[in-house]
Amino acid sequence: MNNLKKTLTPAAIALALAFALASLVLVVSGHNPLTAYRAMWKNFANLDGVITSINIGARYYVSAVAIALALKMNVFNIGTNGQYQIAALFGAVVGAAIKLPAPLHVAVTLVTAMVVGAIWSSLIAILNVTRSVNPVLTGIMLNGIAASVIAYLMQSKWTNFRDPTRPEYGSTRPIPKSGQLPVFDIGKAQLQSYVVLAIILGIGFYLLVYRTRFGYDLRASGGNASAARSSGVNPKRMILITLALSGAAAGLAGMGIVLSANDQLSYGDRFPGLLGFTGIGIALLGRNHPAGVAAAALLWAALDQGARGLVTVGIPGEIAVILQGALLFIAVIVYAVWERKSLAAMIHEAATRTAAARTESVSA
Amino acid sequence: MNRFLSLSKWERSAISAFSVVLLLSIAGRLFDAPGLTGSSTISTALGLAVPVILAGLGGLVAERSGVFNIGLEGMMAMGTWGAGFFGWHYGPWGALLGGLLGGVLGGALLALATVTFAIEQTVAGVAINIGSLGICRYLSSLFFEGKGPEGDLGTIADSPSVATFGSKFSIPFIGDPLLELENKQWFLLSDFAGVIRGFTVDVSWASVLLLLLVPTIWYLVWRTPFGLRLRSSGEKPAAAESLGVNVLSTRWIAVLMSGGLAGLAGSWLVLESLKYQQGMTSNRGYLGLAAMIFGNWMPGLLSIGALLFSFSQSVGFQLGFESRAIIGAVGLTFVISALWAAFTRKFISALISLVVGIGVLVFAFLNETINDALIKALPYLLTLIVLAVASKRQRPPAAAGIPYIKGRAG
Repeated sequence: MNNLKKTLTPAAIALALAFALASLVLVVSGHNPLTAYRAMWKNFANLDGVITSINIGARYYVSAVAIALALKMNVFNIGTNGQYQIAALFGAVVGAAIKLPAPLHVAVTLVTAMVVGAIWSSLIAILNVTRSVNPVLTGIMLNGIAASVIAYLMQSKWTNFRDPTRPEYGSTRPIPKSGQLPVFDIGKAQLQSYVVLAIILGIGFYLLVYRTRFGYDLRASGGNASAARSSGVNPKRMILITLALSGAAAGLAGMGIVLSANDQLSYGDRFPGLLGFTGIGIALLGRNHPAGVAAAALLWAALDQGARGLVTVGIPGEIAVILQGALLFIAVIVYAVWERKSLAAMIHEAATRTAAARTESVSA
Repeated sequence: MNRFLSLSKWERSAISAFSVVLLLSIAGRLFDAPGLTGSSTISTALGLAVPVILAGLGGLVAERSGVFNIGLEGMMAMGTWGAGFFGWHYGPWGALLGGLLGGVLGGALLALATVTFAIEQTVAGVAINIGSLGICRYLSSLFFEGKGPEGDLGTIADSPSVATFGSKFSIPFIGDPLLELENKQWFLLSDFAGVIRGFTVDVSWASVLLLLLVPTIWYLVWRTPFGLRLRSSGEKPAAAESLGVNVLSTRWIAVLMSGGLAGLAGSWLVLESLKYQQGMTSNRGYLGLAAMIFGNWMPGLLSIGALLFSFSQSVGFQLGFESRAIIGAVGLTFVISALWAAFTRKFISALISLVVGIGVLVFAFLNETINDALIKALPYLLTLIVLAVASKRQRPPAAAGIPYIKGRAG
């Protein structure tokens, strides 16, 4: 309980400060913050709004887990933005091309995307361990390369990825019924079963990082690399495995978009291009912890959903993006200050106790 | 190799520049692509390099003081907005000032988070990159959308037109003779004429002004007392503090300058496109970081890295056989390094380089034109290859990326 309070207090402070800042921006630009927040709340707090937030939050979560996993050992996988796109392209193409019974079809599609994501992110790891190239830079370059490789594959005649029957989408062929994830009807809204995959991934992430030897090594390498090395952890191997897992998670995030029934069940020109970067923000906001990241992903998606209601009151929806940015920025500051303060308190307490013990032993 | 390294810096630069032009002119002949060293390719490349160089300098100043600035992209974006707004109202000088202001504001955010509150530097930088998107769009919705002269209205994604500097800069008297020489198509001589002409004729005033910052920053960081304090804050902050350097305020100034440089890169983009457009930075902040690492945290080498990158980009814009020729040039480089490796008796790496080089050359011979989409990957691919070759010899500032808390010197 005490622990929970310790985590939630700084989060609440950050949230309050972020809203205060956004309100200030709104007031300065001549809008009433209360009108804005009421409109956002109204668009979110109904069945459809909540379910949409959960659906979108699920793919945000998966893409944030990809980042968080690598950050656990201080590797910043900024390349997830390219990984999820190229993985989604291959997942969509394979999913549309094969004919298999339902569960197997879905599994093959997902595994394809995850393998492609893992391969693409392994390039970062390979260049890092063999040539010590900074992973952030490799990630950025590979994002650029992924974009042009995708553009090439989509337009090339010999790959024939484009669906000739729907030229207006500029997309791959749609995945047939047997390859789609089922949808749960809740009233008029539809909850996507992808949410279940996201939850399973979250539990797997928790178990892997906090309950296995690998996870221990991972956190040890992130905390103190040289200490981990002297206790027998092979850093090169850790980077290779971690980045492959991270890339696989990114691939799964991309499939969250492909397989959601609201979109075109394919990869095309309208495919969202910033999921990886959103994931970075969410992972940092959730402090790389499985539960924290989940809360952050839901909050982020809820703000997105709320922002769509701002049009009705004539306030630019971009205030939600400012809110997200401010929240992230303020949250990391508050976390850091809070942590340093509680560390100082702990040291102080230990010092007083030692002093007290010493006086006791002297008087005895 | 050792004899080469024992030469003076100027001799080494001259030899390197000569070999690069030689290589390009051979590739140009081999693949029938005179545009490879044409003045138009070079001057496009020079232009494209300016914002990357500025971003790289921004990264350099911050990192030399101990702050890893991955927020350059966001600061540049804020710079483009500022340049769009002030440029629209007050002309080209306003655009330069507006970009500077926007970038400095972004720098202040980063300094507040990483220097004052000592939080994880990557995290703060990424937050700025994400937040800048919202800030720019929100400001556009207030100040650009539906405003401006008739027929030139701003929207949420772009500003009304911005005027740029009127004339262009040319070194007098040499343009015409160089052009004549370039058109003669003499081996090597015409190539040199094209390259020199690209650098010296019809360069935009914005580029000239901003490129002057390369030597200025070098002088500031390596030849002034402030520069010494800045570098010591980035190498051993605790020691610097014990000698009376105020590490925190030094880092604050450095990060503000870093933001300002990134913002000026934004000004350049606006002055070149004649208006602010959302997303016009297109990863140039990150490319600046790559150039900085390539350049081993030194301004001169950094500029060369940015030029290499933008050259391969500019070749992609040429219509003839230039794009296959530059791929051919990459192949030739591999073959030459294979010969060098064989000469120094490193037979395995010689074999690998030879196989890769011949493969690339064959690819270039077989494909008359390279697909438009794929050629866009070339600059990124080249940067990766260069980093893979160069990274092991890099030496970043020792304390870069580590937040410093006052009084650590004890």
